[in-house]
Amino acid sequence: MITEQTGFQNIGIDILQSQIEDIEELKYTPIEASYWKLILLRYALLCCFVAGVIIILENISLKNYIENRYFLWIILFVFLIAYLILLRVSFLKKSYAIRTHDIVYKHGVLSNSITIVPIDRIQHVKVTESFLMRFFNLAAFDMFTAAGIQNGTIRIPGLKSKDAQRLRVFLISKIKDQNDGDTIE
Amino acid sequence: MEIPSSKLENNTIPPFSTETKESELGVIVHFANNVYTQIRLGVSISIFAFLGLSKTLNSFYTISVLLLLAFLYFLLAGLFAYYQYKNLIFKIDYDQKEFHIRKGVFHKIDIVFKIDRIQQINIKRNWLQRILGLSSLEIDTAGTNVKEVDLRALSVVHANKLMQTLMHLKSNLFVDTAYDNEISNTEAATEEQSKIWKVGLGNLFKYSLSSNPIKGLALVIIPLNYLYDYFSRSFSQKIEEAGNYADDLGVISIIIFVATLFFLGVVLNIIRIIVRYFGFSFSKKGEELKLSHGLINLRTMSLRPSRIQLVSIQQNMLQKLWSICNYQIKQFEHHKQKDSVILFPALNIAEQDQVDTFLNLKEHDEPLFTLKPHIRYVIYHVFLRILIAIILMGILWYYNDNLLFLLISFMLWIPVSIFWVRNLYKQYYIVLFKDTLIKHSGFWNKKKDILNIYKIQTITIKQYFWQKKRNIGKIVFYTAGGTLSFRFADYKTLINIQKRYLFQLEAFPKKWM
Repeated sequence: MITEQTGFQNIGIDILQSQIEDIEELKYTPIEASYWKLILLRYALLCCFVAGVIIILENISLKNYIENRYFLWIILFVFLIAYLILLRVSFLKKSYAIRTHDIVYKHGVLSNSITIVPIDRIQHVKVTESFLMRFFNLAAFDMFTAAGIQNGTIRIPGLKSKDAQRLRVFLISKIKDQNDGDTIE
Repeated sequence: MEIPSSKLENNTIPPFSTETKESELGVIVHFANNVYTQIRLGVSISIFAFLGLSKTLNSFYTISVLLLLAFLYFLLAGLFAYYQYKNLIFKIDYDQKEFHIRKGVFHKIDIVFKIDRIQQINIKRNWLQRILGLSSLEIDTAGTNVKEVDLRALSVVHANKLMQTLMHLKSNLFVDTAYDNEISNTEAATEEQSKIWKVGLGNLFKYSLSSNPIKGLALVIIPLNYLYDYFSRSFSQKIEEAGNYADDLGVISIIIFVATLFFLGVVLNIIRIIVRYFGFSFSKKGEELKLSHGLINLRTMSLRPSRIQLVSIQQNMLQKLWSICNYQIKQFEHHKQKDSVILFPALNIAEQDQVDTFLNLKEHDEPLFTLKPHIRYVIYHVFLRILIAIILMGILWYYNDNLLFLLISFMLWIPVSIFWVRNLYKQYYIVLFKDTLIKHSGFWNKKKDILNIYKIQTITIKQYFWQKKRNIGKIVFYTAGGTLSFRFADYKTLINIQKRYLFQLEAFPKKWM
């Protein structure tokens, strides 16, 4: 009912506006499939770590307190499985699109979130290749805006190392272009 | 360690254009820094582990193992510091006007940024660096709070040279640095000395009476906890003694307790606000608005219109009666120590007018469109209130089995919360203007958030999977001073709003600061 009231298309600069592609109809690039392997590897490491901690705790102190130790293991198992499912969903939902004036990043676990970063607002970019990422030839791409460390950092994980470098070069040159001229004071 | 710097000075090539390293002595600084931060992080864990281990092992064995571990740790930390030094390379790319830095041992990081994005350069020396004749150089870009570039071990000559080079490059590029602004402002200030506006003690008193007493209570949360402990212990004793009277005493004592808390909150609030905002005054000097306030600590601040990111105007029903209103201004600060939120408490109409003209809030075009939330808003909020009430009931019932009283108050609560939410719903909407967006919200405390769309950094549109059927969602605008969000709105409309404002932002770019 609200859509009918809006009539948003009638406002002002209609011809120019239609040059902007609708973010719902954009062609999004999903993140690299090999990133899932990296997630699994990290997940396996986490499982080992958690199991190790619990085994140590059981041997040191918990022995006397917990009678039914299988209960603990079952809870842990359920949590880890649920976490894995969430990881999978989150992986499948991550995709991005690069437009002439902005970067659109789709993500979310329980939600569909679309974040749009105008290139003009990017302060700097960073490519991170951690120890594990280098095994899979992957990199994470960070874009920093002035909106603070939490809200202002947009991270696209799981790009091919080469792609991330290419994106970095592209964005840096873009930021430069925009600074050179067309800002209106 | 001075060789590289002298080499550079003699050459005709511009400094730092080739890949440069820190001073060799930097290994020591890195080592000390690593050990220091790790110890600070890990003290509790290591003590815990030590206690766990010491029971199973005999003392001599434990100590020798620990010593061995410590030795190994220092060896590894030293090795790590060496590689930190070895892998850190920086240079200036004069063609692209970029600063490149590459660092990291296991975790390789490549940072490149435009030199004109640099906001600030700090040179610092701690005692260790002073002994070693080194100096650290931090570069702030506007992007993050964390210092992205933190060269900890440059020789003093090197550090100064690097700073000068960067400053030189930046001043060539941009005239719009903070330094230039300051100079022009001081010049302007000498010319005109405008009227000083003040907020009187009476207004502050009104403001503190009408503002949320919980804020006053927050001042004394810790002593209050103690008080509550004391009270509840004596209560439970009394209840045991009183036996049959227990029910009545429970209800009455809860009421008395709440009333006392409320009264205490109001009193504390008055003290807090008068101490903080006593003698609040502001005046316009050139481009800036200078503020000062405070009874014990005098605070002075300056507001620059270009730095202001979000403005929120608040007025609750009591304040409406007195026709006073509060302005909350969020501005961009790269120093975390400074307040980014500035409050103008209890302004009369004349002062409101002044601030409005300063903030350029008066020149609105015709509103383009008003967006109201979906009816889901009401359902969600009523449900939330009832859920909280049920949980509270459950807790109270546990202590006090006067079921009738609880049921009656629950029955009363439902219409109250429906009335409350209905009014909240009425007041919750956004109005779109050509380059401003105003969000209205609140029932008792009415709030008007004003966002200039050129201050937007990023936009997020979010839709949970259970909202898909109703096709509603949430939009969040992120600025450098805070966020503004609107929930339970029609999804398609949100997409359109995003499209329109993004278009304006990208087709006719303006600076956000």
